Amino acid sequence: MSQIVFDHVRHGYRVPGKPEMLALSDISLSVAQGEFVSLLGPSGCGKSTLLYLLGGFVPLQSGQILMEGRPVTGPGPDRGVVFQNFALFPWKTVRQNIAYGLERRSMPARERAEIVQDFIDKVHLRGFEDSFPSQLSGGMRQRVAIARTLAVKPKVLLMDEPFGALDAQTREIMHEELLGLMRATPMTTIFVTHDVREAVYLSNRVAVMSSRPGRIKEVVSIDLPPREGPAVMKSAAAGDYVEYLWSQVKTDAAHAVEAVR
Amino acid sequence: MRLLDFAVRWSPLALLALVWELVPRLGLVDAQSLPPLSVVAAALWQLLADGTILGNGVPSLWRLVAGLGLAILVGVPLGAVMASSRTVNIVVAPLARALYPMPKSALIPVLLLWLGLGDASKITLIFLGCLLPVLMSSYNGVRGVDKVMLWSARSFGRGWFDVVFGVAVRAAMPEVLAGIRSALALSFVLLVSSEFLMARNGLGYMISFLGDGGAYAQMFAMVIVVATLGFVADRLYLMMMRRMLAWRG
Repeated sequence: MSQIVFDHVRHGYRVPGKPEMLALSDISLSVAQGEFVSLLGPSGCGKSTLLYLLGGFVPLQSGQILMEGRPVTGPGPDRGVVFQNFALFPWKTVRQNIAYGLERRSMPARERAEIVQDFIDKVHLRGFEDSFPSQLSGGMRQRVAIARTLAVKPKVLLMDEPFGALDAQTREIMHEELLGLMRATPMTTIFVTHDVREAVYLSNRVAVMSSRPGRIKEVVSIDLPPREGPAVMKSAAAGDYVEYLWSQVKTDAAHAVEAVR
Repeated sequence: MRLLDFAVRWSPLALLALVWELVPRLGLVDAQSLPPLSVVAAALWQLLADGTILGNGVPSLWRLVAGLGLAILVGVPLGAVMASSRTVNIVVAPLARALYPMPKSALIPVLLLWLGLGDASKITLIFLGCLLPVLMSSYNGVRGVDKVMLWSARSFGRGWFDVVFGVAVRAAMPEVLAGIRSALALSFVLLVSSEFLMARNGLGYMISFLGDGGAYAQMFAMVIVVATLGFVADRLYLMMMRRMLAWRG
């Protein structure tokens, strides 16, 4: 059975006095347990909106979204979210940020501290436990956010362009860290990105989206050997995936540029 | 180098003191209406020694702390709830907007009529005057918080109360604390002007009492006391504010 189901989801924005702007038109997609699925598309295709609908942050207008068979009605810790701009609590230290999701859970304080320390180690932030986010680099901040989200053991992980604000080098390091975490604790992941190579490298499947109105154009299964380092991206197969997906996204991105003009 | 820095920083004040001393001594102004600084300093010493400053300063500071404290206790939560709840906003916002520009000192005769000469009238005036700046800073601060940060808290299972008071108000703390700082300055204005008109003790009362009695050196001494208190309060507040916002890096 699919863990996540989007069933004919449609979403529009209304501005008084103007016709409704259709952000998502008839989206259907099923994601199986343990799958890593990317939503790939140009800006404005509604991929983030789709993720926010699944997160329960944006109310559903029509269609249905099921999480393990139950309709999504609001945010919940079963769906851990990682945002592009980290959304850390800047007045809390690294340790306090990571502990946030566990604060209200009834468990001995020692057990909570152990979980937090374990995740600090997993994202390689030992020595920075008492730093504030303002004292960290972008890559470190996103590691804190990922640790904070994973510490509550969500059933699925929703990532909204999590590495989009990072420089290329940091992004590559973060890819390896994420894959490492996934190997240690496999988890269903929905990953929003506009970076074709990133989508190919990380995903089992890539849903290509197009804009105006946002819809899923095609879902491509990525059949590559286990990712054990960026070398796999040098293979001919990976190159073909990147080229094909890029051609799919490019036509739409060009339209988007035209439309803006 | 630090000594030079110190000298440069305080030189305008020293110059002002010198002018204050010389202008009446040289007969440029009437020494009755502006006594030389040394005479004022002597009066200040005498008022300190005979307990006048302490005896009037304590009730004044109590009114200020009570009025401002109440404004913070009501204004910060109300502003935050206004920013987070459409219903509360619809009810409170027009009221707040209408009352914000009103000079609160206009209420002094009304409060005198209703509450008399005791502490309640001054505390109420300071509360009303400080409430709106505090409320507005909390409202604007909370409204400006990145919604993704609030979503993030909700996705960890936190409810409305936790999100508003545990996250939004904390994130808005720089704006909230800046609003309280301007309210602190305003509270001194309201304290002194209300004590001019409706009090039987307090620093403002003493300024007007001494002035009415022609004790101008003593009157100026009390003005210096109020100015110093205001300055020290602002410095202390700023120090506390920096400490509370250390996380900004």
